[in-house]
Amino acid sequence: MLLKSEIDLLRAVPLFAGIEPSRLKLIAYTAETVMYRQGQVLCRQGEQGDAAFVLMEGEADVSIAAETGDFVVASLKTGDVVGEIAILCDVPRTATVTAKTPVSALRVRKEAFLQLVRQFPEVAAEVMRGLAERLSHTNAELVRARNLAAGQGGGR
Amino acid sequence: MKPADELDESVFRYVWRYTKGQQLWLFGVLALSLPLYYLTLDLPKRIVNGPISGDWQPGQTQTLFSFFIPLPDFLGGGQWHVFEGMELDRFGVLVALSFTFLFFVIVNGLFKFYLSTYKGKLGERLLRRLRFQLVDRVLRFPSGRFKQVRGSEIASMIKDETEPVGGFGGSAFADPALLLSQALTALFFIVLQNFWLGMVAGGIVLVQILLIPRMRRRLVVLARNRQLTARILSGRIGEVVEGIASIRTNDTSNWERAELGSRLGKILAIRYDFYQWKFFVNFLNNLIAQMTPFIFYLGGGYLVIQGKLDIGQLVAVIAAYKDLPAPLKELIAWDQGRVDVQSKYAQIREQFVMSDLVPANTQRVSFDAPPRLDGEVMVSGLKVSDDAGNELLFPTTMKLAPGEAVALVGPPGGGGEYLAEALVRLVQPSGGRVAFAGTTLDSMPDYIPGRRLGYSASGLFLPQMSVRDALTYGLKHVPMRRQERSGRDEASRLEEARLSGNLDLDIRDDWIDYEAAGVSGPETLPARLAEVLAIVELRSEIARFGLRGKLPEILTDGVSDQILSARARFRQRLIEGGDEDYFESFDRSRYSDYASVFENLVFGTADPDADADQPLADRPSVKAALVASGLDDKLFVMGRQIAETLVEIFGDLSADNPLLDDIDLMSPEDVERYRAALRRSDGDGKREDKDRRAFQRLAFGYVEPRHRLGLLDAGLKQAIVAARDHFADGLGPDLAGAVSLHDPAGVNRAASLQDNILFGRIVTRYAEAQGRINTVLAETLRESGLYDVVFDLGLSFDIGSGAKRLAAGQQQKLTLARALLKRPDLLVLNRPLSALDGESQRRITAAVLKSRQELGVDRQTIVWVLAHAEHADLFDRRITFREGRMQDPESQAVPPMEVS
Repeated sequence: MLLKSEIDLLRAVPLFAGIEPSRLKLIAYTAETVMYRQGQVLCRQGEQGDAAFVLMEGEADVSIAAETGDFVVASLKTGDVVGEIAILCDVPRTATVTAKTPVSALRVRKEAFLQLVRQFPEVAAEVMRGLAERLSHTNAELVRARNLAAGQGGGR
Repeated sequence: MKPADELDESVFRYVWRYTKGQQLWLFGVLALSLPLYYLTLDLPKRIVNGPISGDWQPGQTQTLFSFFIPLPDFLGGGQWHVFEGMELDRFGVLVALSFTFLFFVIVNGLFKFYLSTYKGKLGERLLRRLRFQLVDRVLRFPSGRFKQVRGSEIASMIKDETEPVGGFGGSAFADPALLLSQALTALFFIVLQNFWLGMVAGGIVLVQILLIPRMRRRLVVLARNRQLTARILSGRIGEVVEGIASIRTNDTSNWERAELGSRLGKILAIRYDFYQWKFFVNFLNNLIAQMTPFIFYLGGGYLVIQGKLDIGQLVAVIAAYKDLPAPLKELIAWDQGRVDVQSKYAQIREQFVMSDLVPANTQRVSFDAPPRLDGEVMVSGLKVSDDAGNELLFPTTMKLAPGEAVALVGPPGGGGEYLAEALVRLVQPSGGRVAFAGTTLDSMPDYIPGRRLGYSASGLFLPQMSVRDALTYGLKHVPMRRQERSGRDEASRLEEARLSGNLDLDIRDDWIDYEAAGVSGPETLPARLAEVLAIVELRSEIARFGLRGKLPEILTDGVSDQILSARARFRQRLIEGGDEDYFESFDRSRYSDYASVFENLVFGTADPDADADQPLADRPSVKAALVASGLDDKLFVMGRQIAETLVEIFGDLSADNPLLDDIDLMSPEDVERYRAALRRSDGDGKREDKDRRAFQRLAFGYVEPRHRLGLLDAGLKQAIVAARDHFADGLGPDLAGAVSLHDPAGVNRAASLQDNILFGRIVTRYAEAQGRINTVLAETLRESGLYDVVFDLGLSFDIGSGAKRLAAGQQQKLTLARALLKRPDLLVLNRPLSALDGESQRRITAAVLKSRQELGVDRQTIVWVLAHAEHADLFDRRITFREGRMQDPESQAVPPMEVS
């Protein structure tokens, strides 16, 4: 995929919507495109992460390992950003991302991503919005799980 | 009798001790040459007084060559009639005498030639002997001595400061003898001619000989100062090189500059003082010498006028006197050299003579297999102190049973490490002893503990050599397999070594003790090396060196074919695995997307440093190919587009932005240069050739999938592939060495083994490609039998000066493997893996303990100073050291189970 089409794609991603084209070019140039076959893993839970991904083509599943086995917490489609938590706060990957179809992604390395957040408040706000959205989703899940557990406990 | 390696206090005694015979021979030759020398003085007088100005009647003849030679007194005096002579007229006498003179001049010259060659050789042998003795003494320094000396100072002493001693060796006795006898002969001759003139000459000589050396004594003091300051300077320079990390991290480079500068200033002051004084003394010396002819002319002239002296005598006196200052001058120079050398020699000697030198007998050459030390190891009352007398290890008594594995734990400096060092005799205990089956360690010559004990520690120094040599270093005690050599070279090698008192073992022989490593010979050694490297988890890293490193100059037969078949096999395996889209093979007729434009253009690879030497775009054959194929303009335009994009993207980033490092095609400093070049070439104005090459350089480095600027279309690719033909018939001289071409049917010597097998590029766009290719490559190597070749190449890897090309952990693994390879009876390991993480340390520790079975040394005793106390559970026994004391085994025993 060429730089030009990558920039067009990036422009459509909400995270990068407010950024001027020359900056988008910088992001795209310093990032690299990587391709995954179906079933291959973009990042694995527990590993150290040094990059975030922007999905350019294809779909991927985000899953978390639990005692009962892996369960999918989200599905990603073109334009979604994933893997930023590990590089924002230096923790191991919190989930595993697996390609559901052949996937092409833009791999933004940690330094470039942090530069971006630091230099463009719009990006920072957008990252925050995304994380907050996921948090509220997680909270809702937690409440549901607690209720379910309480219901089961009551049934005993 | 003193031992053969004595360094006498006086340099004369030293020279005499080792060169007695040669000096006596020199004297003999010298004595033989003296009468001839006298003749060259006497003949001119006879020529002048005889045929030239003598009283000759016409037709008068004279009998010549009746061998009327006045012999010097010490040869018996009188005359010696050998030949009855021949009758000659005046002119005949002149010719005969002149030719006789010429003959003696030539013979004299030949004598001089022989003498100086002989002296030179003698001096060189003496120098070799002295240097060898000093090196030998360094090897025998007591361990504590090494804390006080600076390596570079020792090196400068042995290499530079010994040099004048060697030169002096040849002239120590012969020169004064020769010069004195020459001077005395000349003086004697003058006295014979005229007593008073002789007395005058003698008096002046006496003044010279007494006064000048006295004045020169100050020069000697200055020379000694000069030597000392220069030696310290070289020590300091050595420290700067060693300590460069501290200098850089503390910004003390200017402090060092000032410090070194002040030392240089001191040296300059001393040297300047030296020269001033030296030339003043020379001036005085010359003045005195040249005043003498003045006296001769005046006084001698007066005597001639008075008729008390004939002209021939005066001419002869003046001629003889002309010969006097030269030997005198040299004699004085010799004397100065003597004092200088004496002081240099004394200084060197001071550093190398010490009472506690390890006795030479301890390090003697031994071809016998040493007795095994596999009995019980008894440590009794062993005490170690530092230089100040502080106790590092308090008296310790313990036993090590054969085959036992003992862990020494405790904090650093706790005492375990000193016990370990004392066990292998690295420190001299201040009390107590270590005994192996009843024999004390102290009493053993080096060849027993050096071959039967193994030792590794963190931070052991590795000199520059190959991995193979570093591993087998512990097996090289004596030449085990000696190659029979004969002929003149070998005879002269042995003769010279003997004459200079050097060791005559041949370094070219095979020194490896295969038996100690438990193998039968060179053929089976690599397998054993692989084994010990595998134990310390270094084997695959060594193999990787072989895979990534350059191919050797000479490939053994069949290896090329093996590589080519591995290349085919690799491709086949990729296809079988369905991974062919992970890889892009080089193909003469196809553009390789993952190779740069330049690599595609020449169908080869460029040496990464070649562009810096001379831009590739500027080399004649590249230029010619570009012009001929019409790519010249296209690549220029392409480079311009690249420059525009990069300047647009990176041009307004601040200089410290880390993203600038991602610019890839040009360095951050180049951005401004290209911006200027873009401005110059705007609007298709005049195109400077330099800018043109700069833009083409950008285009050359372009790789479409990496840079993704969309600059390559099918037509351009086609044109580039077509241009390959220009390079197909071999490279021009301007590209030789800078570019190596791909050869689908051959091996590229400039590329690594890995590149030769892959013969293509990994499609890095696929995230999994790299890993998958590595797996397939490893499988291919195993199948094609190339693994041995790879490993062999890896063993030849040059570890660099101080093993700097290896990581700290790799260095430690290497020295541990070296200790394992020699299969010692007692293996002492002193925190040998401290550079590794705890998990790896534990794994390797367990592997080493287990390896005793595989290596066939079940009864090997292991003493291991652990960096991690929790690994002690792998051992038979654990002993804790704290503050220099062994902890009571009872008190640290596992506490009894709590009764609940």
